[in-house]
Amino acid sequence: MNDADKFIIRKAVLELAKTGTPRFTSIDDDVRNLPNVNSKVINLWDYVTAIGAQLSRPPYDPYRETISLDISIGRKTSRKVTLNIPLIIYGNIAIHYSSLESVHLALNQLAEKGNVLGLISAIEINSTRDNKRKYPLFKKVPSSNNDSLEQDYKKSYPEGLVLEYTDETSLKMLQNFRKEFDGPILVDVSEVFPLYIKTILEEGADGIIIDTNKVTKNEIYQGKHAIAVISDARKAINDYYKGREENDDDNAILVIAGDVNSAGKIVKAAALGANVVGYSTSMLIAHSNMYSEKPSDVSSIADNVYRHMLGTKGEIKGIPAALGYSDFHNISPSDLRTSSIDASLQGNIPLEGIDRTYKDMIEEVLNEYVSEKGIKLDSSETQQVLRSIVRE
Amino acid sequence: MCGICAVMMENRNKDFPIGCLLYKMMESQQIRAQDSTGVAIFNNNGSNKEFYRIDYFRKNNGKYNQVTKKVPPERLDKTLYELTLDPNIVIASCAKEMNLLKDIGLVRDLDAKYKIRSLQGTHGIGHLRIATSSRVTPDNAHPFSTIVMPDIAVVHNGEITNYSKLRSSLELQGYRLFTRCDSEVIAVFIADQLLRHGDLEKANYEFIKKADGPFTYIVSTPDSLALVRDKFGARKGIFGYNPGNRNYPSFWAMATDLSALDSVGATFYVETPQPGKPKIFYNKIMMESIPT
Repeated sequence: MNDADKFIIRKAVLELAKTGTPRFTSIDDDVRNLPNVNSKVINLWDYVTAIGAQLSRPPYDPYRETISLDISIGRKTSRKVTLNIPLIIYGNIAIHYSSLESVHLALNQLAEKGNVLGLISAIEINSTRDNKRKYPLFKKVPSSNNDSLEQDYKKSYPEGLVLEYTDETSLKMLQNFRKEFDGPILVDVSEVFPLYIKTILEEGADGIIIDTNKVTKNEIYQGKHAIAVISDARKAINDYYKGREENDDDNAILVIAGDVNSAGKIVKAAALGANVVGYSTSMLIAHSNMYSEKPSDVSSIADNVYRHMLGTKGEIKGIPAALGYSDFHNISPSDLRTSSIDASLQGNIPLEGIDRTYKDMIEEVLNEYVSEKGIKLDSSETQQVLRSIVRE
Repeated sequence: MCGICAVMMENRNKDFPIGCLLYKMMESQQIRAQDSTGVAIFNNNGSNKEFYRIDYFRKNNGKYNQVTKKVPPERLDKTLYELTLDPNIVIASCAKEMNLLKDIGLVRDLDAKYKIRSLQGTHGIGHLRIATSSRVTPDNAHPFSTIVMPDIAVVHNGEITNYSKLRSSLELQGYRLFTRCDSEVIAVFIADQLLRHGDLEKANYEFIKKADGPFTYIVSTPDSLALVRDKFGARKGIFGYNPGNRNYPSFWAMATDLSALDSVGATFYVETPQPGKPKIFYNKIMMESIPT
């Protein structure tokens, strides 16, 4: 127990002894009002750490050091893919073959040590007998291809497929592939988001991929932050499951790609609803090579990528551990705190220091007003008024 | 630092004032928490076949009035629906065999208000709360119940850290939660599971699988009690047996602290449930569960 905890307990006991009446605030409120905690609140992540260090959370419990990062991909497919790190390297076809080869070597090295992460790639990697692929490959199918899976895609025996959704022909491709392929199929909807999510999931896609960089360039999302995109994508998947009694293990996953290339951003994306993060290949190579003094040959890049990914794995465990989770995927928007009303509205994130979203606060004020004035509003009317106030 | 406790009389004995036992156990653990108190006592003597009892709090300018409404089965759904439309109403319980009483203050205050020591029943649970996340108000006091199905009550010590995620998945299924307290999700989750398969043990295993954080809780149904610890066993929870004598019947007791078992003489076969393995007490099989 640290000094702040002792202070709070002492304060609570003294208050009770002095007044004979119980407290009306909770310990969380007390912690947030402590001057030494508040003075340290500089940004979102410091605040998350401050929350993680309070009395009711258990970071000092050594058991909590165990953080599971595992994620299973595949809904009703007979072959599911399990990743030990919730990352898929999203292969960029523009990068040089040698870069892809070094990623291949690094992913193999990682998989050998029990750190399985995936790769999305359209390019074939020539696995030698000594260096056979040990990680799951998600083969990216060109959107123009309308043929059967025969020959072309079965050749590399991918564990999963990635399909880019552009128009109605993509839907036909998805239907065909679903009939023939028993592994997970992920659909990249960046071009058409927020449309077609329900249809795609109904046709049996195991997850959707969204590149926030691409989506924020769409007309609907112009001027909006990636937070809004991730939040809306999660909402779209949740809406599909609304009222259904599906087992959680059968849920479609959300893969967020784009501008997510650091541990902090990965945790933020996960908190906002991403199950897996698509880590850009070119960024990975750039990150890994940044501090290298060696010439960039395949094995030295592979070594850097290997160490970079292990470092990232350690980093993304830190915040869930501080928040008292034993599973990385349990982080949720309410674990983030923001000082921006806009972010609170876009991602349904609680505002700093009060543990409530901006929408919650407006709703409370509205309810009080309605009750005070004796106005009769049913819940749908209340939601309508609320939406017009917060301009959703 | 909350304190929880429970008592289950053997052989469906329903004439003993178990409120008295709960009071003693709660008083001995009062040092753990002083914000609010509550009990849920079950008396399945079959006398009430006609009415459901809905207990709710009506918020008015920061004040909470507790209201009890008795409704016949045919009007239950409609009444619950109407109550849920009012944003100032927090439904505490919907019950046929359960008497759920809770308020802010110490256990002696609750007894002064509701005479809990005189309440008879087959089994019951009690709770002492120190507020860690939501405010100290009567509706945030334990035990928590749900309108998903009647006669479910939960007392909880610890924290469900992925509360927010569990809550949204329950809300997606259309369930209504009335408070911002993490303990309420346990009641709704277990009720949802019981509706699916009716197996209390399976329901608790499912919760342990889905929930994160350090917790111990006791869930009560009309004929059973379950003492559950998280998979790491990060919070305490023990149970013991009192064989009874000519003056009082035998019973099982559960609590956070050993002092609570001592206070009611439940010092035989004292054990702690294995982390992640629910310990279920059924009325009908209790004799079989006693080691000979």
